[in-house]
Amino acid sequence: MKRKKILIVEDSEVIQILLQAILEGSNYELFITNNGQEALVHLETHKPDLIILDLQMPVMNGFQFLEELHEPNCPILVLTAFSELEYIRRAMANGASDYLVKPFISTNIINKIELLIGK
Amino acid sequence: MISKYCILLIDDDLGLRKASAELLSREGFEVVLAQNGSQGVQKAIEYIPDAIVCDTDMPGLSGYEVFHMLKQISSTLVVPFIFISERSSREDILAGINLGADAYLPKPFDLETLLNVIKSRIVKYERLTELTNEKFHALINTSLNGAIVLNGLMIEYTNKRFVDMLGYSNEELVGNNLINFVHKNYITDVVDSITKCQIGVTKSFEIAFNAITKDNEFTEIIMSGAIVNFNGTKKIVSNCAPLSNQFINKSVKKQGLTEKLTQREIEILTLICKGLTSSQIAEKLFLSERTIEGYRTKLFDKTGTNSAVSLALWAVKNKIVVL
Repeated sequence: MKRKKILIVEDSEVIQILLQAILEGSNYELFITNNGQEALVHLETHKPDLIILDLQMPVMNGFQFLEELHEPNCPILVLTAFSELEYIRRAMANGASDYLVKPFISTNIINKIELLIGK
Repeated sequence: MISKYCILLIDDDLGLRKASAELLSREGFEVVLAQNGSQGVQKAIEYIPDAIVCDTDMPGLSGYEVFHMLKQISSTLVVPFIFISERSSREDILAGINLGADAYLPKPFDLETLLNVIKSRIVKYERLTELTNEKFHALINTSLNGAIVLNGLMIEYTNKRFVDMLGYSNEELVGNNLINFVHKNYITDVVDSITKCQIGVTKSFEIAFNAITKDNEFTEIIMSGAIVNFNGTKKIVSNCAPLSNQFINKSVKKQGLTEKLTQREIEILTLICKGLTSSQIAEKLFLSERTIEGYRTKLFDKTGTNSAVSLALWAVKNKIVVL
């Protein structure tokens, strides 16, 4: 079966490593970019099944990325430390499909990914 | 005996501040100093000390004004407050105590006395806090429903019923954000309801949503919560009951409401409350999805609601569907 592709857009190396560790045993293929701009370049040649997006990043943050993307071709799971209503509303209104707040446990993110794209 | 406790000392007398700070530090206290009333108020809010020692007479804000201001703020309201004063008449002492201060020490006093007063007030404060904690947790633990205590959106405490409802362990839930267990379609509504309550726009809230269990199933929860002032901090205490399995598929006829809704509308309303989508309802009732959408719009109009969640709440409140 074809492995589903997940694009991680996250500047924190710790979170990148954590996500890799959590999803290691799963059947997903992971691609890592460090900010919105790198992710946009990646999307020119790749079609992921899901994007995991941090909001606070240098160069191009998550909101700027969502605005640049206009209509995403795949679900976007926001992964952020911001849990304020205005951030959630803004992210969801700009194309995010689901929202996860740091700190989280591995089951939280696995469940949300599976709900969005299946196993 | 006591260590790591923080004492805020507010006095314009530099000599007294220095001597007291030295003694208290030697005894293992963390000492925060303020040389006037307004600085004292700021530092009290910043540090939330375990006890406040404050001179009654200072230039600018008096000790009494400092006391009144700190009693208006929930985080400093319960902190033991000790007046120290040049005023040593019986009337002055009584006036200070009658205001609600925990102790009143006329100057001059020896520093050992100050130390003993501080220690005894902290011990008393801790006993009271422990007692309140115990009562509070006992109330939650014996609740017939699931119950959680939220600090903002962070889960601070859960009872066993709530743990069982979601299938996560207590350790997995506590310290985690409630959002991480809420289905994406309900996140904004849940955060909106809780935030409004947290900042005091509403006194309580009631919201139905799909929670994600550890097995990645959905469980429909109706959550009703209110803000409480607990040990000087504002918390959201919520009751959580499962919604789906407790709906009985029959309507309770109520005067007025039966006139308002047709049998078919009640039937569809009950299925909406069970969380079925329009296509699922259409399949179940052998109707087209378009027809169901029409009924849904009619139901929103008749009940003055605009979402499945608010419709479900309306139905429960009006006993159209019963728990």
